[in-house]
Amino acid sequence: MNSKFQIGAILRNRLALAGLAITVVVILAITLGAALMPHSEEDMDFVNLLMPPSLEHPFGTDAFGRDVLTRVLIGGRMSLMISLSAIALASVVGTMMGSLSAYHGGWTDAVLMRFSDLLFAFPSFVLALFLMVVLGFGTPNIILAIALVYLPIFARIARNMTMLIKEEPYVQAARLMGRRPLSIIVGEIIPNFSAPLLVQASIGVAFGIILEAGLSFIGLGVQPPTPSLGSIMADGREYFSRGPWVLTFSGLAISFALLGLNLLGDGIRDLTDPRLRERAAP
Amino acid sequence: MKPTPSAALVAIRDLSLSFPGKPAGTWFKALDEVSLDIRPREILGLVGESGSGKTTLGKAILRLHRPSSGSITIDGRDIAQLGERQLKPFRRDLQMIFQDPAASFNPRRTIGQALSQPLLTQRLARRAELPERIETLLRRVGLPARFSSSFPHELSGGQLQRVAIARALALAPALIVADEAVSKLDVSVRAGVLNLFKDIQAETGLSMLFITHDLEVARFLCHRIGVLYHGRLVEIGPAAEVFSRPLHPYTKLLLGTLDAADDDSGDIRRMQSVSNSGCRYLNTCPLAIDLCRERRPELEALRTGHLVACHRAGEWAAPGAVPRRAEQTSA
Repeated sequence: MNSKFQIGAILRNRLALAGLAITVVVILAITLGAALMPHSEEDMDFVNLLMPPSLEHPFGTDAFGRDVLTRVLIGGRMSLMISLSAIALASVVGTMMGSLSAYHGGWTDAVLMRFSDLLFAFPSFVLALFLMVVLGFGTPNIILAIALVYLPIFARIARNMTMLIKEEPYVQAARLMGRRPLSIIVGEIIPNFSAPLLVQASIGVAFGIILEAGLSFIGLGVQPPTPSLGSIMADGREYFSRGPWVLTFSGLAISFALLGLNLLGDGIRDLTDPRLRERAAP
Repeated sequence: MKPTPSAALVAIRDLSLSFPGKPAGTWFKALDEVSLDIRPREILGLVGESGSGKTTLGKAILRLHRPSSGSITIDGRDIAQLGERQLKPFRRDLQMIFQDPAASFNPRRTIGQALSQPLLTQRLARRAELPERIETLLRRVGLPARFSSSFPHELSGGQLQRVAIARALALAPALIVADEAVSKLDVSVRAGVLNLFKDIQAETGLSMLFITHDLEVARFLCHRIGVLYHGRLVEIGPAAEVFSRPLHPYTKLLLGTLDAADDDSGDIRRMQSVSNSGCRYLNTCPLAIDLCRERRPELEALRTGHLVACHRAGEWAAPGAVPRRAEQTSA
């Protein structure tokens, strides 16, 4: 299996390039954007409540007179940070779990994979809801909940790939050198399926944002006054008839970010899957 | 009669290995009480058709598989059931060359990295010494030192198989198991790699278990030949003996196909179903008698160092003896 790909190849694939461009714009906006805005996300202006979009407030203001664009940028940073941390946690723990499971087989495999099946058995949002209720509120717990939802997906990929790769002669050669299982898994096996992991991670970050937004939207996620995309949308929904821009623009912001991440993920998959590479090449 | 254990580098006794089969609950006997000695400084050839258990036996001896029963004795210690951690000191002595050179190397590591791993893992070299050690290893197998920075996909199959030999040699093993080590190579480079095996064995005095379905290769390289038939060792003896005066009917069949057009599949055609009671070769054997059905033949020496598992082999082991067909004997 050859999973190498070059940056050059991404640039030749138009969809992947669009995805990469959008993702870079989103990341720049949420990291630097808020600092460039004249308003703070918590500045209230009781004279200008629920003002429609204008030059001063491109996304309008909300019910407290706060600038919606600034809040979306800060909220976006929060959402992305939560989602990135969760996926990082899920990918590392899930991959190790799946690989160890496949490599050792037997008892280890049975226990780890039944745990993963248990997590897999519930719809992701229901599971996240349940975990939030069990774990309690707070940002670290949202990260943990999203990570647990994603864990089995990475575990499953890692298990299947390890099953295949562990029979390769180069893995057996490593065993014959007397290397320890963990060193073989980390050094020889996982690097050879990094491409599907990367694809899953980029798509996972997008779904993590949705999940976090969903939790915050129903009030189980990030707690006020800290803005997150979900809580901004929840506020916007309450006075949608008087100020539709709050919900509309925060929703569009999420869609834009997700579009970028999904295109990027699809692009990476196309470029790293040998069966699709022919089509992806110009 | 069994060979004396003291002469053996590796002594294998009654080694059996079963895999879970279909339907669930049944077991497939890949190895059925195989006993053989691998002597110091010898190349032992292992021949047999596909599925006869050649590779399984090789991997079991190296403990890439855990045998179901039996013993593998090295340096007076039975390693058949040791765990991975206890095996580490033995790993140095037992190395393997695989059939597919392209799959023998992690595609993401350079040749130099691949060669330094065994040295570092077994603490046989300090990091500073690595470039020199790698160069020596590459030279030894007839490759230029500049290959050290190449990736596996940049080398040809023959070159990679030489690197695989270098990797095995890095640990200065006592035994190398070569599993169909030249069958995936172009005929043009095959001879070169075979000669390399021969030279290295002569220089270092290590032992080799050479698994092959190619009898010409076995004849060229091996000192002794063992013949496997469906997980049973049916004949073992000096190569010249086995080739010129085979004792087991199955060996005779194999040798009969030696001159026939060699088909690419590498399989020697499977003849009839395998018998589960008595002699496994019963259903194909033209010389089978009632005794073959009733009792399983065990290995016994009919000539010096030439063992065979066949009830009737004694009839033709003597010079000039001619086998008679089964109908005649039972009549």
